[in-house]
Amino acid sequence: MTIQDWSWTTLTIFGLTLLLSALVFSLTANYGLRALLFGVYVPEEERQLPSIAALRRRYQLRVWIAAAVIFAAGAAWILAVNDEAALYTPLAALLQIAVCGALFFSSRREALRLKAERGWGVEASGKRVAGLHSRLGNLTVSDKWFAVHGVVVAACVVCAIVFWDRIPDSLATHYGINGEPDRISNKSIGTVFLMNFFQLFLIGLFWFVQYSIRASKLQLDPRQPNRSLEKQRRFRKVNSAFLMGFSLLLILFFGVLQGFMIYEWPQQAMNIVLVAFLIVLIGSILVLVVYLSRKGLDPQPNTPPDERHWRAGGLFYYNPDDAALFVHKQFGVGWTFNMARPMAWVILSGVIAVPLLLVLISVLLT
Amino acid sequence: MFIEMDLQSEVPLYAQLVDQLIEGIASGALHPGDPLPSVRSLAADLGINLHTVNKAYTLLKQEGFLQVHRKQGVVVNAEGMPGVTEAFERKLDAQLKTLAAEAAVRGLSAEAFAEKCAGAYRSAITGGGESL
Repeated sequence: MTIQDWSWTTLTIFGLTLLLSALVFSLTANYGLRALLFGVYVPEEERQLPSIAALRRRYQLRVWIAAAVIFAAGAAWILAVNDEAALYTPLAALLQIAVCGALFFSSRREALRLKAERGWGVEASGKRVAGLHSRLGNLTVSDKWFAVHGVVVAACVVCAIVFWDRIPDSLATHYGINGEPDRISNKSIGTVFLMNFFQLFLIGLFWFVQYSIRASKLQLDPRQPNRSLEKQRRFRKVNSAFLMGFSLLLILFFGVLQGFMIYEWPQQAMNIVLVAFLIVLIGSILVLVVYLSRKGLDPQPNTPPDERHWRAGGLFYYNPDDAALFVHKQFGVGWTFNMARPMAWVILSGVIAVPLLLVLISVLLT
Repeated sequence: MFIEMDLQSEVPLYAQLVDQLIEGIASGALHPGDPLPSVRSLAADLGINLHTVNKAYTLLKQEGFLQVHRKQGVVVNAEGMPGVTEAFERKLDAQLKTLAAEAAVRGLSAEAFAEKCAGAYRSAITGGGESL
């Protein structure tokens, strides 16, 4: 392979990474609740306002322009310098996240201005409705599906043990984004099975995500409790099934990565795997969002949020009088913590500490 | 069955929950042996404090409307309802007296008052108070 070929695969991966994060950012304007405009509650009768649709479109346009500019600058750099592109993809992704975050908050300011102009008073209804039987039956797909993940991990481990003698004495433990190894370590339990530890960690993490989908607050719309309950149950089931498939894909990906590490599979193939993985990821996220919006599935009831408890522009939820640990985000994708619960801090530090610990152990073992 | 809390009402939240659970049992929306959500998950879904739900459950358990099983959690008492106790009769008398006095002062006849009582009783056991 020539250097020119390498830079094309690098460019593809670079482009797909930026595409993925631009997609996620531009979808935050559409995903989920129509009642919320960048976290600002819009009264029912005002939702068809042309300036609302215009604000959403403007934000999305800016996100894509930012992605295009960052991609063009990065691509020019990669083609001009033609090496060490490993650093640029994460840097560019970080830059994009920072820019899109800033775009989001400027759109939120515009939404707040619109709110002041149109006088969208939030009449917090003070009514709360919960179903006594809403948690009967399954809110997520069964945890038994994780057995499939377990089988994949076991297969990876068994293969490594069976082919132990064929595994070379020095292993590439770190790859640049162009697919070339840039760190070599000696063969040991820690290096050979490193990916399996990560797989186990991912299974634990995704089990926890499934648990949080089940446990998170099921707040209903007081005006139509039955309908909003049905919608929320469907929303959770669909997301849970998606995440089950997604986590399996991730586990398989780490297994393949281990294969490239220890069985010396051709490196060109790794780029193809990486590109395929990113394409599948982008495609499945698009399918999920289109499906959810076609079916009109909302993540939360159509009621104004209690703005006193959403801090830092709606980013964090802090309500000591709410027993809920997991609540749905005001904007963006997924669930978040009630920061007033000590357990939220315990879990957050655990999620950060465990991967660090895994890396530390693997470093100590080598 | 749905629980509806009014955070702006003068009636304390735990009392609203107690009343609605008893109304649920009376109307047949809740049957003896039916499981109720755990204190934590009901409090989370309503977005209220754990202690509020805990207080309501504890009161209902003391009165004999609910049971707490180690395995099944909180259930509607499967061994039957507590029946008419002396304490309940005192409570009934006191509350009726207050209402009867005000009804008399406002000029409502004894028959009309009795008819209101009977109507309230009928709608409690048929769940007529709830929108279906």
